[in-house]
Amino acid sequence: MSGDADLELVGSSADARDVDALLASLLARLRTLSVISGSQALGSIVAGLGRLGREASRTADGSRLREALRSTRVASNGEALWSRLGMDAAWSAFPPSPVLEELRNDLGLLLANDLEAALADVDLIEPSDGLGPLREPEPLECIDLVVGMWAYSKEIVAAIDTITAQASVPEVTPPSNGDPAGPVLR
Amino acid sequence: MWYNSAVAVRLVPGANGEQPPSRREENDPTSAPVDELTSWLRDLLWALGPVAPGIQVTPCRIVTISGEVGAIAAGSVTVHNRQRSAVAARLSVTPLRGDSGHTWLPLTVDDVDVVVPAGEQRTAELAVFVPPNLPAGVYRGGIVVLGAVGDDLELHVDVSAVEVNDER
Repeated sequence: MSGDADLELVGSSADARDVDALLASLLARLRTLSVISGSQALGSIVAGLGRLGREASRTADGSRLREALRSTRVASNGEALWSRLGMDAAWSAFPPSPVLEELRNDLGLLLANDLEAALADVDLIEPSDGLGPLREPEPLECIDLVVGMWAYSKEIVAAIDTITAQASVPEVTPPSNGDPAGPVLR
Repeated sequence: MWYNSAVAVRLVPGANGEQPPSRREENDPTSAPVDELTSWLRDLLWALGPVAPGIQVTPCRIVTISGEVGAIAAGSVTVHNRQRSAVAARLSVTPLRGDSGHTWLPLTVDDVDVVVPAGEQRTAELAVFVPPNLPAGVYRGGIVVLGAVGDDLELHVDVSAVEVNDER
């Protein structure tokens, strides 16, 4: 263990996250799409976002946000939609997709300086002719997707921050009797 | 159901309540086992899931920062990327617990994000507001990287009371 870092980010093996491994991960996802249904893909992404939300809730920011949302209409309306439309049972049945790992891996590919060499060994993927084009295709560049994801996430963050701006979540919680950890850490 | 159109097509009953045979089933009596096998293989493939090589966090030493109540406590965290590809990571602080039993949900001044090229290191600045009503003492918690496996990086925040200069 080195002494020049507070935190080391490592892979499970030396080449676990080299460009070939990241490319293989992306290819596996693309090829899996041809053998699963759209609902399976979407359901798995939703389940993965839910798992990420539970994980994020153990951070201070996530815990504060969760508590703030509970005091807004989002909690009751969301719960009503979730149960009435059967989304609780529907989404929870899907295996959660590792959405953050996949995002991180794809960013690693976009930042790689040896991507060209890795791509040279990959067979060209032809577009699927399953249903044929549903409409006249419109241009879609990778940069469009990156900027679109940035705009989408900014919109989500702004909306949630606005919704929870008025909610009051105590920053400091004194210990309750017989509970030295306080309510947040229960 | 609307969210699973593939299943819905199979389950919608005909006018007399029976399952309408597909054109393929009418022509090919062996198609049912094939469909079942295909469905099973799909489920198996999706259950296994695509490979997503993840990152592991290895904490090297405790991060300690200090500050007065009502002010900002700041420090830095050095993140070393021991992998062969760049990695983007956000450092998040967990709730902190003081020796007095108080629980503190620290507000960070800025988001702590780093993008570390392969084999390099970056230093991220971590600053939290120390609320005026927080009792002095040491508060212990962790720094986590969401979506990574491994232990939390241990964080200690040493909070001191405001010194009052009595110059009478």
